[in-house]
Amino acid sequence: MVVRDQVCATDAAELIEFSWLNATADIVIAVAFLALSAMLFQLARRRRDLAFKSVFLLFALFLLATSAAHWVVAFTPYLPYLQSAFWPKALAALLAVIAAIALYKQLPHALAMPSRMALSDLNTKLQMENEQQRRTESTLKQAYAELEKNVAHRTAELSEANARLQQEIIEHWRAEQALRQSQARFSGILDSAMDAIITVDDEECVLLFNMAAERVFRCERSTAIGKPLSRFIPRSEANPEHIRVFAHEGNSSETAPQSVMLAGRRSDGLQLQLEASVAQLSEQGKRYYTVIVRDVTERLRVEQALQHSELMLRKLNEELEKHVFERTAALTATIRELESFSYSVSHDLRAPLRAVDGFAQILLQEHAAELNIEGRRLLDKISHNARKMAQLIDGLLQFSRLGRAEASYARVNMTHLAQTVAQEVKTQESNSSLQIEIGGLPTIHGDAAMLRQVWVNLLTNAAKFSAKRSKPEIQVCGNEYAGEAIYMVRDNGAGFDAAYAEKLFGVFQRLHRADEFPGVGVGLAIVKRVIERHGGRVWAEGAPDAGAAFYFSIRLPESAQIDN
Amino acid sequence: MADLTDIEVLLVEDNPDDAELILRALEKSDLTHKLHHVDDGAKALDFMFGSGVYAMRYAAPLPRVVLLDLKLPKVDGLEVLRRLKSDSRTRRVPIVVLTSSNEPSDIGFSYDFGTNSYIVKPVDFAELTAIVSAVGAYWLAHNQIPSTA
Repeated sequence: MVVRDQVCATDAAELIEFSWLNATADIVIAVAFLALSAMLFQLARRRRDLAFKSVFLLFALFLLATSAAHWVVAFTPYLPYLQSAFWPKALAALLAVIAAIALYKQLPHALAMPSRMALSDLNTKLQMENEQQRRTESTLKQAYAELEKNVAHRTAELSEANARLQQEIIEHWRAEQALRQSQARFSGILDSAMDAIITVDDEECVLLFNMAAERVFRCERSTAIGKPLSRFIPRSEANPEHIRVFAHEGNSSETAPQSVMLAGRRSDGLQLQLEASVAQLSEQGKRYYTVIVRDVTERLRVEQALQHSELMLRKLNEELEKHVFERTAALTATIRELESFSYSVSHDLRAPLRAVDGFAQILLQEHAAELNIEGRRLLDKISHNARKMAQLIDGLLQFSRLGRAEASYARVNMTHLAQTVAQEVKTQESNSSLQIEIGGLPTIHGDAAMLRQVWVNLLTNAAKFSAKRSKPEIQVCGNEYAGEAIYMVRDNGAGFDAAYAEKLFGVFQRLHRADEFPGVGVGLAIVKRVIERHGGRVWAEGAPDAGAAFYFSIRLPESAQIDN
Repeated sequence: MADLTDIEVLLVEDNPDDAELILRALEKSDLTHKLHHVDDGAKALDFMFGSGVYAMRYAAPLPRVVLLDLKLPKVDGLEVLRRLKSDSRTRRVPIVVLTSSNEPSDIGFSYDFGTNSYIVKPVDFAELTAIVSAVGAYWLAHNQIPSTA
C-alpha cells in the first residue's frame, strides 16, 4: 500500500529519514507483489488444467500493476507522486476491479469445487472401494478356478466311469462268449473224455450220459437218460458203498474225489470192473451226483497177468541164480581139482618114469654083461619112451599152466619182442645160416610173457621145420587191418598138407613123424591158447615142401587204433 | 648105517626109487659116506632138532647140506623148509630143494622161505646123475659153511 500521506515535512532531516523508510517499504512491497505476480503467471502457465485461469491471470496482472505503482513511489520520494504514480495506480485499480468482478463471477464455481481434503477423502474412499473390488475379484477368480478344477475332476471321473462302463460291457460280452464257448467245450470234453461220465439226480435217475459211458456200458444215450443208475452200477454186494453214501461221506464238490472200485454191468450183461469217483453238487436246493467211471477190467487183467509173470520171472531168476551159484561152485571145484591134478602130474607121474629110465639105465650100465644085444635094445626103448613121456607131461603142464595163469595186460612192442626172441632162437639153432627177417610190427596191449612164448614157439617151430634147407629163411611181418593187428611168420621149410591145417593147433597133434622133426605137439596149441586169450585168432597156410605161414591176429583197443 | 652124529648130507625123500637113484648118483661121486635118508617131513625136523627118534642127535653137528623133496608125507617139504629157515639153530644150514615140481608157485614159495637152491629132478637118469653129483660136489667140497650158531 502506498502511504504517501503520512509524510510531514516538519524539518528536512526528519523528512529525509521518513522518505527513506517509505521508499524501502514500497520497494519491499513492489518486489513481493512482483514475485507474487510471477508465481501466479507461472502457476497459470504450468498447470494447464488450472481452473479459473483467467481470474489467476487478472490477479497476476493486478499484482504486477500494483508492484509497478510501488516501484514508482519508491523511486520518487521527493516528488509529489500524484503525477508519476497515477497511471500505474489507475491500471492497478482497474485490474483490481476486473479481477474482483471476475472472481465474483467465478466464486460460485469456486465454491462448488471440492476441497483438497474432500478430494483426498474421496480418493481414500475410492481406493478402499478399489481394494474391495480387487479382493472381490480375486475371490471370484479363486472361486472360478476352484469351479474349473471341480468341473475338470468331475469330467475326468465321468469319462473314467464311462470307460469302465464300456469295459464292463465288453467284458460282459466276452464272458458271454466264453460261457458259450465253454459250454460248447464242456459238452465236447464230456464226449471226448476217456472216462464215462454219468450225472444222476437225487432219485438216482440218469440225467447226463456221455459218449464214453455209451461205450463202456454199451448203451445209447437216449436209452440211458431217465433210467436208474442201478441199471449200470447195480446195488449189490460188490458195491457195498453205494453212490450216495459214497458221495455223502467221501466227497463234496470241493474236495478231490477219491476213487473206489465198483462192479458195473454192461447192457449185454457182462460184468465190468470199474474205478469210480463221485462228486456231489447242489443247485437250487437239488442235489446231483456225477459219477466218473473208468473201465479197468482189461487193465486189471493185464496187471494180474503181469504180476503173475513177474512172479514167474522172479522164481525163474532165483532158480537161475541158484543154478549159476551151483555151477560156479562146481566149476571152482573142478578148477581146484584140475590144479591139484596138474600138480600131481608134475610130481607123481614123473617119479615112476624117472624110476623106469633110471633102473633101465642102471641095468644097462651095471648088468650089461648079462644082456644080449636085443635085451639092451629093448632097455633102450624103455628108457627112450620114459623120457618121451616125460616130455609130453612137461608140454601138457606148460599148456595147462597157461590156461590158469593170470594175464597182466600192458603195451607190448611186438617188433622188439620178436627181435629179442629171434636172437635167442638163432643162437640155439645149429644151422648158422638161418636168416630171420623182421619188419615193423604193430604195437598192441597184451601180456608180454605170454606173447613172448608165442614168438618163441612160432620162431622155434619155423627154425625147426626149415633147418634142413641149405638157406633156411624166416620172414616176420605185421600190419593193422579192420581194428586188428595181424602178424605172420613164414618159413621156407617142410610145410604141411593144407588139408590138415586145422589139426596143427591141437594139443599133441603132429603132422610129421617124431624122428623127422622132434617135438611133443603143444607149441602151436599154446600159441592158439595165448592168442585166443587176447581175443584173437590163429591160422596157417602151407603146402608140403613149400614152406608154411602162420598167422595170428590180436584185437586193437580203440585208443591204440587212433595212436597207430 | 653111518654115525648119526656125524652126518654131512641129509636126504629128505619119500619115494624109495627116487632115493635109491639119488643115492646111486651120489655113490658114483663117492659122496655117500656121511649121508642119512629120511622119508617124511616130521623125521627130517626131528633129525635137525635132535628130537623124537633122533634125540641122540641133540646138540650134534648139523649136516653141511639138506636135499629136500617138496611133496612129503606128514609135514610137507615147504613147511620143513620154513621151520628150518625160521629157527635160529638151523637157519644157516644150506638147503637144496630137489623136487619133481617145476610149478612157479613152488619155486616162488621155496625162495620166499629161504631155500639156497632149487633143482628139478629130471626124468633122464644120466641127467639126474650129473646134477646130483654136481650138487654134492658143490655143497660138500666147494661151499664154505659158517660155524653153527
